[in-house]
Amino acid sequence: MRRFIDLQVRFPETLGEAELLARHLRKLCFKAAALTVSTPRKPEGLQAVREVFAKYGVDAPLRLNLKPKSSAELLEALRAHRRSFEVVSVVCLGKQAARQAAKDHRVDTLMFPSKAVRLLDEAEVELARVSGVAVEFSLSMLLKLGEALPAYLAEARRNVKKALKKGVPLVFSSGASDVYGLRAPRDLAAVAETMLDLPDPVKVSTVSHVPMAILERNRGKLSSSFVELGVRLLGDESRG
Amino acid sequence: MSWVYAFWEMKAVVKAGRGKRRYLLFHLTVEGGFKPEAEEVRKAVYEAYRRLFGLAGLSQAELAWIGYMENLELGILRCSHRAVSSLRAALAMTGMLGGRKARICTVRVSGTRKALKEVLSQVKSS
Repeated sequence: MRRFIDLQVRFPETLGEAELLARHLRKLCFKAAALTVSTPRKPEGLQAVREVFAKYGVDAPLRLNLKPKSSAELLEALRAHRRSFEVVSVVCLGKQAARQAAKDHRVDTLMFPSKAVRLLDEAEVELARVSGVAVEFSLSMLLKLGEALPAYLAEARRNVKKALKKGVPLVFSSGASDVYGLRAPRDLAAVAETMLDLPDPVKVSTVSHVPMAILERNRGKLSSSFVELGVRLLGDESRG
Repeated sequence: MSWVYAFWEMKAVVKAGRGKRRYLLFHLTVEGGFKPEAEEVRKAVYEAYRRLFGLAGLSQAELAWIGYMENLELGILRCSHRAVSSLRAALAMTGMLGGRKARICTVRVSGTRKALKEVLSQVKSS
């Protein structure tokens, strides 16, 4: 059975909101939802929120969205905060930061809001392929575009085609800030298919296999048994 | 022998050029527990589809409004089997209804109304 994951849901401000989100995510058949913060510090009440989500059987990893203005700012943020978050995404606003993010294996996904989608060119795709960084689109981002949506999609479609050709993984998330922003996983896949011209097997993997693989890979790296890529401590069961 | 006739009928229908159809059960959630009227929901769905795929797309989708249960916030739409993904996308891209935040999620897609009725009866009983 497929395990669906919404890789971007805003971190709830109250426990009541967390309960509502978790209930709706469960109803929509999500197994996990990455709770997203924009400031690089662990939010208050994280453990309590995770317990609420666990009560509904929804895994709640923590995700950080970075919006660096330069590559130096990005490198500093990654050095300081990478190990505090299970998923780290970079919202690419400038070319320099976008290139740095694409070649840094500590980054999990790249997002290109509005006009920045032109930054997703062949060089960016090639860098992302080598470092294993995924390209992410979110429904909330598409909804916010309004009149600019057709132009954005035209550029995005062209660039996604290049990314698919090179084998760069794609992720589609809701980007929800409340329960009204959530959508069923297959509805998200349908948006990805129709808006970005994704082929059939790829569309569902954008909300299941690809984000789940990112999460599992990062959890493996954050566990105490991780030594380096491909090397893990075995034998002591008390460790991670 | 009834299934033989049913199969023959289905084949004839497809051959006649009408094409296969799909029924889509959707659930609507509106901010503040607001319950819109069926006509308002119908207009919102058609407008969402038209905005995304245009009038030509709307006609190709063979979209038909079957009904909406205001108390359950569930509705049924019919479309061509080729337009299921587009319809799902159009429903997902509906973020507002009557000036309020809204969410339309697909509950089930079926080839017959009968199968959807079974799902509906399950929802009603739960």
